[in-house]
Amino acid sequence: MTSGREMATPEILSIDTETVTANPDAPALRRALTAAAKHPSVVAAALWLLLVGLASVFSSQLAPYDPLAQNVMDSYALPSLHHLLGTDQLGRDLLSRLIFGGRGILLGCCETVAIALTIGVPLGLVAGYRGGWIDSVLAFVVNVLFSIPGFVLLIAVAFITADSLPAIMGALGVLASATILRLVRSSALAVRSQGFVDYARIAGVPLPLLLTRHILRNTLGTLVVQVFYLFSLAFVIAASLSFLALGFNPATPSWGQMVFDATQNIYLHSWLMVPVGVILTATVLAFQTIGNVIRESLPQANRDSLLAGKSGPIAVAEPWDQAARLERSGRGSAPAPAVPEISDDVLLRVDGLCVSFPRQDGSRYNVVDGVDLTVRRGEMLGVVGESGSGKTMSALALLDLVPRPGVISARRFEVAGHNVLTLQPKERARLRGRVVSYVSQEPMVALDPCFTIGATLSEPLRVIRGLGRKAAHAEALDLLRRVGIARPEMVARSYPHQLSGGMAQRVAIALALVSQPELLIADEPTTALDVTIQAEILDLLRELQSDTGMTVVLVTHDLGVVADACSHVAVMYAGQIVEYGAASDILTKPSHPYTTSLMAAVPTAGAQGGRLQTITGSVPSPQSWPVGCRFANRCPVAIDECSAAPVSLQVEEARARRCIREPTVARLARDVAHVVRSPE
Amino acid sequence: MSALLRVEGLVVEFRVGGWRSPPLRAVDDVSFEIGPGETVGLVGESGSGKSTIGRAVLGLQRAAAGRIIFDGDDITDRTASQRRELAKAISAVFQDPYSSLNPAISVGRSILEPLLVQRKLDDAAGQLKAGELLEAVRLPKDVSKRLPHSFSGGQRQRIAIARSLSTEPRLLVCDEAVSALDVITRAQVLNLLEDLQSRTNVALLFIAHDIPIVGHHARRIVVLYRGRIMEQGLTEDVINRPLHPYTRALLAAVPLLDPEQQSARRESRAASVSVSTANAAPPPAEGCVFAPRCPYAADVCQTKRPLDLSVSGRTVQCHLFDPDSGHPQADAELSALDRAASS
Amino acid sequence: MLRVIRNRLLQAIPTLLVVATLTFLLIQLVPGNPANFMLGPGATLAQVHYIDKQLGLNLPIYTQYWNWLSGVLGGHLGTSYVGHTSVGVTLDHAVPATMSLAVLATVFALVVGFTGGIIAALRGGIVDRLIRFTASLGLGVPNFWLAVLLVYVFAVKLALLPATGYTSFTQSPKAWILGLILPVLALTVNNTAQIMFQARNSVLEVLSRDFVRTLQATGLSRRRIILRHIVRNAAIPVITVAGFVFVVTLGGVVVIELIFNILGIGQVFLTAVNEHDVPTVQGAILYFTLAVVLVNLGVDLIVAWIDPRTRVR
Repeated sequence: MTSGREMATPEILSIDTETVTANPDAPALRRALTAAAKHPSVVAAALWLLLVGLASVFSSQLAPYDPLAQNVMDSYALPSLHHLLGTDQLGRDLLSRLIFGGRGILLGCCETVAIALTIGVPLGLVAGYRGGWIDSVLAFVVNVLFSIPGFVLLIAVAFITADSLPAIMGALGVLASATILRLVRSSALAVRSQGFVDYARIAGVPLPLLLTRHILRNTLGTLVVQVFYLFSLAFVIAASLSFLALGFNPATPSWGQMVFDATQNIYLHSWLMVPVGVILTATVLAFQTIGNVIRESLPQANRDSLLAGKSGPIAVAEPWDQAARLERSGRGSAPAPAVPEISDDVLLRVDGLCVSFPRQDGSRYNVVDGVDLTVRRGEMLGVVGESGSGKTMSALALLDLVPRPGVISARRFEVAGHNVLTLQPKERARLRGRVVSYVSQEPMVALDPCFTIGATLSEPLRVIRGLGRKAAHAEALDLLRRVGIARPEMVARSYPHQLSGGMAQRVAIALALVSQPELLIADEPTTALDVTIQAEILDLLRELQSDTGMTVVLVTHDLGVVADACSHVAVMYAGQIVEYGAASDILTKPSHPYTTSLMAAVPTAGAQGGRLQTITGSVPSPQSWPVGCRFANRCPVAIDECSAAPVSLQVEEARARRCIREPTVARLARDVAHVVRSPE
Repeated sequence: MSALLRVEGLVVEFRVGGWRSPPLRAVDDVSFEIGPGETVGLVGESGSGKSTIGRAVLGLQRAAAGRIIFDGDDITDRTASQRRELAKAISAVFQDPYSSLNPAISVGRSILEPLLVQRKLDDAAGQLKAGELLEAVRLPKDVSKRLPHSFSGGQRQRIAIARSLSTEPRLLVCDEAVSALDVITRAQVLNLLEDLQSRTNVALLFIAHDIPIVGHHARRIVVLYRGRIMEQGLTEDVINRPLHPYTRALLAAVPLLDPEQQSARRESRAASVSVSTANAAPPPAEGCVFAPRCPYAADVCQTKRPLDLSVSGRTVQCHLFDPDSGHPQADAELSALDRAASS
Repeated sequence: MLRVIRNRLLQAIPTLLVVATLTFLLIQLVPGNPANFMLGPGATLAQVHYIDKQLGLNLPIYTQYWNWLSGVLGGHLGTSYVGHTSVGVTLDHAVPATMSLAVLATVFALVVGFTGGIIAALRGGIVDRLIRFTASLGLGVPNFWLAVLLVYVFAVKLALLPATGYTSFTQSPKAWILGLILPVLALTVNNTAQIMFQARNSVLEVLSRDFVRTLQATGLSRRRIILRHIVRNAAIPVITVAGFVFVVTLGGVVVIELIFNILGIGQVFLTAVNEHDVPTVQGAILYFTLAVVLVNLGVDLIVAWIDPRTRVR
C-alpha cells in the first residue's frame, strides 16, 4: 500500500516510523490497538460499552424494579432515592427500564455486524484476490445494494415479516455487507500486488491459507475500524426502528420506545428524555471514538504534511544542539569553512546547515548535521550518498520545504544575494520558484492529477509572471518545446496520468523553469527512469544550464550520474559532507575511504564475474550516530583514533575531506576492502 | 548440454481497456534456455516484458502461446496443485524489499513457509532450519522470531533470499532483486548470491534493467525491447561487441565513473538514437519495434518484422544483419563483421 | 465527458431495474392476502375472490410483474388500496417536502462539514481537537432524540420556530424556511460530522502527496495551493461520502417527518406500511430508489468532472 512511497523517499519515511512506534516488535494492528488503548477517551469508551453490555446481560439481576411494574400514583416522578432516575408516565422505574431497554437493540447490532462480516469478508477477499468476472458480478451487486435506500427497505422488511427484529437486523446486515465487501476487496486488491503474496503463490500455499494468513491478516486494521463504525450505524438504526415501534414488542422496554414516550410528554415532563438521550449518545460516541482512535493509530494514517506551515520551519541562526555540536566537531574550534571566502560569482552559500526532528520525549535529533556548501553560478553540483545520508533533506532545506515537524537551522544561508536567515517566512516563500526551483524524484506524482499539463504550467505563469491567459498558454507551449517536447499542444491537453515517466519528468522540469529561477534543485530526477531516458534528461539539464546559465544542485545516489553531468560533487554520509571537490578530481582520485568504497561497489560493464568489492554494515540511523568518525565502524582503514573524537572537514585547495588518515591510505581502502571482506 | 529451463516462443498478453479492444502483447515470441547452474540475464527497460517472462516461468502469469519446459517437463499450464510440486525446484526473489515479507508474520515463519507447505516440519527442526538459512545469508539466527518491519531493505532482501533457498531449488528467478537497494548494499547482496550459487549450483534467471549488473553476473544475456528479443548471446560478446542498434543505445546510455571517459561516451550516446523517447513515433504494427528510434532505420524496418539471425555466435533480430532483408546498410555492416572476425 | 455521462446513464438503468424488481418480489413475500386486510376479518371467500380479480392478484406472478413493470414504465404506479387514489399523485404531492428536507440537510452537511474538515486538517492543534470533539458529539446524537430536544428548546421554551408542519415554498418562502430549520438541523448534524471527519482525513492525505511540494516550489502561494489544488483533490472522496450521506438522510427523513408532522414521502410510506397499502408502499420505495440512483449518478459525474483519472472506462 505504501511501499511505493517508502522506496521513493526512504529517508523521510525512516523518520516517520521512528516517531510512531509504541511496541516496535508487534504487528501493525496490535501496535495500533496498544497505542489506542492508552488513549483516555478509548478507555472511557470501552468501559462504557462494557457497562452497557453487562447491564444488558444481567438486567434481571441488576434492575431495582420490574421494568413493567406500573404505579400510576407515582407517575412522572423526578429522580429520588426510591427511583434513582425517576419514573415514566405509568410510574414505571426509569432506571430499570433503561437497564432492560438495550437488550434487543444491542443483540440486533451484533446480528447485523456478524452477518455483514460473514458475507462481506469472504466475498471481498475473493473479489479482490481473483478479480475477473467474479469481481465484476460482485461489483454490480454492491452497486445495487448501495442504490437501495436502506432504512426504507428495513421498514418494508418489518412490514413483510410482521415486525421480526432478527429479520430486520439481518436485512441490515446484508445491506451493510456491501460496505464490508467493498472495503475488504480494495484492501485485498492492494495487498495482492505486494511481493509476499507472489512469494506465497510460488511456494504453493493453498488458497484458503493464502487468503487468510497473507491477505486477511493485513487488512484487519481497516476492518476493525469499520466494524466499530458499523456497530454505531446499526445501533442508531435499531434505536430509530424501536422509536417507530417497528420490530420491537411494545410490551418490553426499549430505548427508542422510551424516547417516543418522552416526545409524547415533552411539554410537561421534559426530564423523561434526558436519561435515555445520554445513554444513546454515549453509546454511539463510544463506538465512534474507538473506531476513530484506532484508525488514527494505524500506520497508514500517519503521513507527513508536505505543505509548509504559515510560519514555516524557521531557520534559526544557531543549530539546535550547538553546544554539543561544538564540543563534538573540530576539537573545540569552530569548523573551518569548506571553501574560500564569498565572492560575486557565489550563488548559494550555507554554513552549518542542520535539519532536526523531534524525538518522542521532545528532544531533537539531526538528520542533516552541519552541512557547508558553496555553489558558484553555472555550476552543477552533485550531492551523492546512500539513503539515510541526509542528501534529500539537505536539498529540501535549501527550498525551505522540509516536511513538518522538521526544523532547519544554519549559521549562514545565502541565496542569490538574499540572506535567508533574516527573511520573514513570507519573504522566504517568495524565493521559491523565482530564485530556487525544484524537480522531484517521482515525476508521475509530482503533478496535480486534476489539471491538464497546460493548466498546470499556465497557473504560475499567470499568477507569478503576470501573463495574460493567451500569453501564458503560448509561453507554456514554449516551455514544453524547450524541454524537448516536439508536439507541445498535444501534451498541454493531456493529464499527468496519460504521460509516460520520461515525458512527465520533462514536464516537471518545464514547471520548474516557469519563473526563470537561478538555482534548480533536482532531487534524484532520473532514479525512477530507464537508463536511456536518464541519459536524455541529463542531456536536457546540461543543455538548459548552458543556455540559461542556471545553477543546478543534483541529488543522486548514482556516481555515474555525477560523472555524466556534474562539475562538482559533495559526498554525504550520515548527515555530513565527507568529501567535496571538482567531479573530475574526486572521481579519478577519491581521497575519503567512503567515496572509494562507493566507487568500488559499482560493477562496470564488461568486467564480468567475480565478487564486487564492498564493505560490511549499513549507514547508522540519525538517532545513533557515533561520536567519532561516523564511517569508522565500516571503514577498511580505520584506526582507533578515528572513533575517539569528531573529525572536521578539512580544506586543501579546491577539495575538502573529513578523514584523519592520509589520502594515500584512504585510496588504498578499495584494495584493503577486498582483502578484508573475502570470506575463507 | 540438456537445458534446465527452456522457453519456446513464449507469448503473454494483457487485457487492456474493454473486452472489445485487442489485448496488449507484453511478451512476443520469446525463446531462450538456461543450463543447470548457469546464470542467464534478461535485460531491458520498463515495458520490455522482462518481468512478465519471469512471472510466466513462475506460473504467476498465463502464457497465451508457447511452451515453458523445466527439466524436460512442460510446465506451461500447470494448475495450482501441480505447481506445488514445482515450488521445491523453482523459486524467486523480487524487487521491492519492503513488500517482500508479510508484515504480520515473523521472519522465521516467512522463511519456512515454502518448507511448511511442502512437508511437515516440527517446531524444533523448523527453528534449526530457519537459523541455518539466516546464517547462510549472513544474518544472526536469533532474529527469526522478529517481525519484518524492524529490518532494513538490504536485510529484508537477504531474508527473501533465505526463503527462496529453503527448498534447495534448482532455478532461482531474480526479478530486479537488487534494483531498489543502495550501491553498497547492492554489492553485498550480489556477492551473497554469487557465493550461494557456487555452493548450491542453483541456476539463475537474472532479470534487471541495469546492464552492468546483469553483465557482471550472467554468462549469457538476453536483451529485450517491447516484448521482443533484440539480441542474445554470451555476455562478453553482447557487451563488448554489441550488434543490435538497441543494444548499442542501451550500453551507450550507461554512464561511466570516469568523467573523461564519460564525456567520450556521451558523444556516442547522442549518435546511438535518432530521436528522443519523448518524440518517438509509436512502433509500426508490422516491422521492427525499435525502428522509430533507430538511427539505422530504413523502409524495410517499418514494414517487415526482422527474423532471428545467427550472427557471430549469437542471435540478433535486425535487418542490418540479414543480407536478404534489402536493408541498404546490410552489406556494409556484414562485411565489417567479417573483417572484425578475421582480424 | 459526454461519453462519461452516457456510460454512467447506461449503467444506472440496469441498477434501477434490478432494484425495482427486488422491490416487487419483496412485497410478494408479505404474508396474507391484501384483500383480507382491505375487507377485514369478516369477509366472505367470494368477496375476497372479487377483490383479488379486481386487483389482478389472481394472475400468475410473472404476469403481475409484467403488468406492474409496464405500468411503472408508463408512469402509472397503480391505485392505492386504501384511499383508491392514484399512488403517483399522492407521492408527487409529497415529493417537495421530502426533497426540501433531504437536499437542504445534505447541502448543509457538505458545506459546513467540508469547511470544518479543511480547517481542522490545516490548522491542527487545538482547533483540530475542538472541531473533532464537536464532530464526535454530532455523530453520537441520534437524530430523533435531537429532534425532540430542538423542539423542546426552540419551539416550546423559546417559541422561536414552529414545532411542526410544513409550508410549501410557493405558498410562503419565509414560512417554508422557518418550518424547515429545526427538521433540517436534526437531520443534518450526524451527516455534517461524518463529512467533517472524511474531509479532514482526505485533506491530510492530499497534504502528504508529492505534488504539494512541487507546487510550493513553483512559488505559488499557500492560499492558492490550498484553495485550488488541495481542496479540489480532497473533494473527490468527500463527494463520494456525501452521496452515502444523502442515502442515510433519506432514511432519517422518515423519522423526522413523523416527529415534525411533515407530509412527505416518508409519512406516506409509513402510513401505507401500517395500512398494508401495497401499491403505495411499492411506489414510495421506487421513489426513494430513484432518488438514490440519481444521486449516485450525480456523484459519479461530479467525481469524473473533478478527477480526470476516473473518466476512462
